[in-house]
Amino acid sequence: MNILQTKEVKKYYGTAENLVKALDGVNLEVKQGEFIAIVGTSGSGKSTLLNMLGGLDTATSGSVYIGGKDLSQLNDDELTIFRRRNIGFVFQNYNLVPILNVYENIVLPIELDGEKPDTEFVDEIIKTLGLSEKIYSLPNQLSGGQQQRVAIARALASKPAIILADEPTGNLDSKTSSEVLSILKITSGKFNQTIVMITHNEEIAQLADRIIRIEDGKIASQEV
Amino acid sequence: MFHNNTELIKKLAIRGIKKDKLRNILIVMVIIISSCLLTFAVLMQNTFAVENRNKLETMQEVIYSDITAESMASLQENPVVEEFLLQKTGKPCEFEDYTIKAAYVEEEKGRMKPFLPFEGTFPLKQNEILLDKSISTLYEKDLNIGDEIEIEWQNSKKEIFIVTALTSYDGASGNDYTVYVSEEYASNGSELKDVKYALAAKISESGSMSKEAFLDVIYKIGEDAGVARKDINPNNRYADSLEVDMMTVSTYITVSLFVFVVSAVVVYTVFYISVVGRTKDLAQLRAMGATRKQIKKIINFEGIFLAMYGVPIGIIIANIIIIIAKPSGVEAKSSVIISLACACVMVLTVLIAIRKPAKLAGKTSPINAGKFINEKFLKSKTKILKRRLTPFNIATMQRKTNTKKVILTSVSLGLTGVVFMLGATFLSSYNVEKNARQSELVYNDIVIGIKENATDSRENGLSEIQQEKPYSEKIIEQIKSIEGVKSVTPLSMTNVYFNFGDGFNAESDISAVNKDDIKAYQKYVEDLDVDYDKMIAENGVIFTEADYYSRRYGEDVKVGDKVTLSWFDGTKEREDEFTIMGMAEYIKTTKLFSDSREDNKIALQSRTFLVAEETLKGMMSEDFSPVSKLLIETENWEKYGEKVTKKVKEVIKSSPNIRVEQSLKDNMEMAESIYESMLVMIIAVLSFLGVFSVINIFNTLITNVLSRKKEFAVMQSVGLSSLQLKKIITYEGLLLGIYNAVITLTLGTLAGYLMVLLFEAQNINYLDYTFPLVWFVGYLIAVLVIPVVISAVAIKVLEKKSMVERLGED
Repeated sequence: MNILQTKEVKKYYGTAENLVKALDGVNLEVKQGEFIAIVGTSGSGKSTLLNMLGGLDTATSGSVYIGGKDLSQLNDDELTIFRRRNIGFVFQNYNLVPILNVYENIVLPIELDGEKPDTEFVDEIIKTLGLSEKIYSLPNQLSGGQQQRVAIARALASKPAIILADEPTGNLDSKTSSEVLSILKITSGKFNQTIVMITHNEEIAQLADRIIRIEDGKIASQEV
Repeated sequence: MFHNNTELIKKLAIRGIKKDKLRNILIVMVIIISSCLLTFAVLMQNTFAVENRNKLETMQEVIYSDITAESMASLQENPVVEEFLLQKTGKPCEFEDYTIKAAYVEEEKGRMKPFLPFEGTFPLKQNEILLDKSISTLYEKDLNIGDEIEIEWQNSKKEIFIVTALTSYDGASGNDYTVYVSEEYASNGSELKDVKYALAAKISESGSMSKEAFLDVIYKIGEDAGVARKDINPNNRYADSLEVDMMTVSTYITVSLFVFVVSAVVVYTVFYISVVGRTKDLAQLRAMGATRKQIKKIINFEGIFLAMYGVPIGIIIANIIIIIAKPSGVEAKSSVIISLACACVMVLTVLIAIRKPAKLAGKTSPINAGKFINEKFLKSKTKILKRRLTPFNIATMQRKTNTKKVILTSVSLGLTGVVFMLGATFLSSYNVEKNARQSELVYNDIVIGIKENATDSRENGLSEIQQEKPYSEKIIEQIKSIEGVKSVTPLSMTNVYFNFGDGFNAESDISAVNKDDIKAYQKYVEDLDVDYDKMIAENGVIFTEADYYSRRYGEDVKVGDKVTLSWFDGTKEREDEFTIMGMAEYIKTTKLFSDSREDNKIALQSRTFLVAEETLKGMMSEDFSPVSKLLIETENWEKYGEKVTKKVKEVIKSSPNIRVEQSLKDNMEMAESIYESMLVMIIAVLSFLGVFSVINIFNTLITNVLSRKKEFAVMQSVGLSSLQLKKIITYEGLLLGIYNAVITLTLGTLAGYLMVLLFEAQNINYLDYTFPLVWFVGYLIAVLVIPVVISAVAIKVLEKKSMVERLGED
């Protein structure tokens, strides 16, 4: 079953002579539990694609389906609610909320949804990611690797349909990078999560189940 | 080699300024308003001083009256007398419903301008005259230049004059007319030829003298010319103007300090928030090699640069307002000096205000770039693990992490709130009737007194009129029988001349006290130790104006001193020596006026000299009545006030020398107009402060939201809906309003209450503390609505950039 599917997704900026085709007809299918890496050079359109997949930005044309739902049919508020229930984000620069402690950052999407977090599940994630000692700490007290682990925990906590990771190791040294990646891979396996990861690092991409190469806004190749 | 490239720093500062337009507009506006407010306050004070000085410039500094030809010559020859003007005033001629007197005053000489601008030409010939248009009511026709009029003097003596000049003086008082004649008439005319000249003078370099020195000089000149001390009349207004008025000075200082503190806090807040928001830029500069000192300099330059715009604009606006509102008080030289001084104060304020933010900027570490700015305010851990993450709670957490910013903004807004409450409390506590009911009207509603011009026109003054019994039994009975009159209280006193040792002779007044009165006095004047019986036995007096007399005549007065009083006992002149047995400064007895009805009467009746009732009786002729005033109390002022006043006026028509001196109605009207002008003044000050506060809230909220663009985007990316975002931002604004409302309610109420107590301590008793509920509710609505509106603007500004754009920003 495809958890994620895109049909002819296009994203154009500007008009006429200045037209920039960031995405130019992307067709993509991702199955439940798959770990996908999207690889491309800077400016190839990979980040734009991720924003489309995550419902952070809207496409000029085409459709993104997540769990069978067409994101282009949702208005801004519906999209927000869909996002917090179905998508987990892991950003390059962690994007934790500085005023909230580790625990609160992890449960933020759930709380924003007005739901009570599944405490057992959250505790398990925290344990798995080795954050038990840090739950009271504020983000500014954590190292980069720790912050990224919190971001991963946050992405997992709401049991989303899909986790989108945008250069999750971009700000980390190589040792911490591989540590974070293995955690990402292990937890996704453990919780049967679908992960779409963007990277420009071939070595990291090799960890994925499938690598999609993107060039000039189009999918250039797919390799398993 | 280390270089401090000032040019580069200036360039960077200007770049920094250009980068953040909104912040600059805010800071410049704060500086404009502060400079405008400060300059306006000082210029306004100055206009009063200038008007007073201009007025005094045209007036005499001293008048030597009743002078002989030798004295006049001696005065005129004295080099210290810089300018002089001769004048003569005849005796008032009394008729049934008016008085008229002839006077001669030299037209205009040097700086002294005794006349208002007039039409026509100044009288030169014996039969020429200058009149005020108000006199035309006497002739029942409009007077024109060239008209012939007949003036009746006393004893049916009539003279014909030709009107050559007319003035129209707005403040011309009812029925007492002065007509101005020519110099020729002053020398030969029947009304003035026997009257001695008076010489009005300006003293050389008096402007640079102290009040004391000035008084010494004019008395010395007078005495050298053989003028009696009692005939030397300094212009008190002029003398007072030579002294530094502590009240004015303290007003200046208070207003300046207030503006200084408020604007410093606001400028500080704006800069502080701006510096914190630019940590990354500054860190980059540091990384590129800027030293801490250079970063500090950049921020200081920014401050000076913005002040260069704001200060002149504010000062120019203040000057324009003053020129439009009070052109008569504008003086170029002092305006320039004040404007320059205010500019210095404002630049200093800005520099002091940005000291701390500049220092903070200097401390920016080069590796700080890219971090969330707010992090430096955060603690390392939270106490509670799971806080409910509702929009309201998130807003509160945000406030808590920014304690310093919140305190700063709250303090500056709170100051405004406190001032607001002071003004509002004054207005709500102001009791018109209490203000109208001062001294004689505290317990009474109408005061009847003897006409001043009647006493002035008699050789023996008040006592001569009193001998004619203006307050007959019949009149008192008639007043008592008017419907609505509750009581009629006579006040007694009469006039005496007193003499201390070496020839000072001054007109004064005397009244009687009994044993109980003295006890009442002793309640208020602790060191008053007199024995009533001894007063009777040894011709004792209590002196109530020792301070004034020793100032006026340069002689200290003490208990045991002898004083010679002379008076007209109704039939003849008498004189006797008295011993001062006690002193009771009049000012110390002001509480007497309102403490009780009895004390009020004692206070009203207290004159300069107090003697035992028996003593006063013995001083006057057998059937003399020293009643000088009648105090009338009505059953119910609102019900009977107007009717009673009308009837009383009718009754006293039969006694030509008395009149209604005061009525509650007139005083109420005056008190109301005071209230209205206070209202306008307070609203003006509050509007200024209001604009300030709005800028302050605007700055705090907008910068707060803009500096957290990314934080909000992060929350939005993980599922914060736009409604939730709006709620967070709006709650943050509301919290600011709530803090302000709490400060205003607590500190403002306390300050208002203290103000009323302070007024009471100063014997100003027309404030009854009343909580300004309506004002406060209005304020509450404003402080809650304004932040919400500004939050809405902040949200709009935030939404200008899409979430993805904001997420990508550092």
